[in-house]
Amino acid sequence: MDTVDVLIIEPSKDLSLVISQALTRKEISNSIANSAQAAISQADVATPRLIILEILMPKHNGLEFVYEFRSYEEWLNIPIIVYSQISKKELDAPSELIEEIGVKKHFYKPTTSLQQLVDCAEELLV
Amino acid sequence: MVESVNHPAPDQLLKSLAKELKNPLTLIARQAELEAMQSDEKAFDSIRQAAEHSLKLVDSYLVMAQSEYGQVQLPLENIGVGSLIYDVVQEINPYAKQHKILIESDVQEHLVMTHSLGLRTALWCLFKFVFDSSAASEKDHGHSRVLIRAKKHGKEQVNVSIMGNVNISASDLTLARKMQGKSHLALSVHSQTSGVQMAIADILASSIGGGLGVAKSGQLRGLSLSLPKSQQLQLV
Repeated sequence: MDTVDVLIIEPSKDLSLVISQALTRKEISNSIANSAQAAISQADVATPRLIILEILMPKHNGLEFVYEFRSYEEWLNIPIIVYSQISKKELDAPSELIEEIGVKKHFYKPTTSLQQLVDCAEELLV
Repeated sequence: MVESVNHPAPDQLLKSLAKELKNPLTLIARQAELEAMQSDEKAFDSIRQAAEHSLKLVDSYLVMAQSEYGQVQLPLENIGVGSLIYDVVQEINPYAKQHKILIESDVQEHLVMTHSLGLRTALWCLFKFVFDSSAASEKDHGHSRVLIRAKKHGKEQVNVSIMGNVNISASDLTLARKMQGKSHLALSVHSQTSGVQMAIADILASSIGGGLGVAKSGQLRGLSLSLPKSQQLQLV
């Protein structure tokens, strides 16, 4: 089965490319999905070792997507970094629930640099 | 027959606009960051900082709007004011360095009853207001000084003051409150700032259990947030 280091799930095509290039600079292989459906298809083609996820997706709530994703046994333990326009407080979900679905870190986009995101991805991929 | 249309209230529209602005501003900031990584060109650092400053301002507005227009009470909790100030200073220091501003600290640790995000946002706004005012003035040995001080005031209050070369008096503050919303009018002839950050801090101060006033220390002038001290239970 093919693998890829990171699957970027981000509805903004431009931002997903920026994240992709930043990861590639650090020789972290990655693929991009701009929707929940595309994410499932991408993960089918190449299993990611880590996911970077924007929760605010058109037509599909990111947390609902994670539950659906986790229903597939082979994707049960893939760690997730949330990189989102909504903050942890705005998300208003209990921390136990967030941990239960495998979210290792929640970054708020406006105040998180690319460097911080890439550094976190590197740590979780070790 | 013409149907009557329900237009969104201006404050709701403004809140939606602020949320909408976050996406393109984030893209500008992150694209500039990526270009700076790849080319080491200083111009991209400036673009990134400008975008991040705009993002922070938009975010500050949204935090304020949550309490003011959303009529949501920001929940109050016990906060160590010294540690929180330290975090805010760490965040704002790169901007200060870029604008040749030296931040001096005279902060005592006290527990206050306030809202953490509301206080951070208010402090950030006050720092920016004082920086923008100070940067326009004469510099001391090439740098402007900004002093942050946190001290108890009486038995029940802690005052957090941020002071620099700001030409502001109590009557200026009263006038600025009347002018709220007219952000294109300068706060004072000596200031190059519109006072938006000060206005946001003022509204936030009330919603986090505090109040905004003027402060001075020697030649330095600025603004002061007064916060209620945490009333800790004493077990006998």
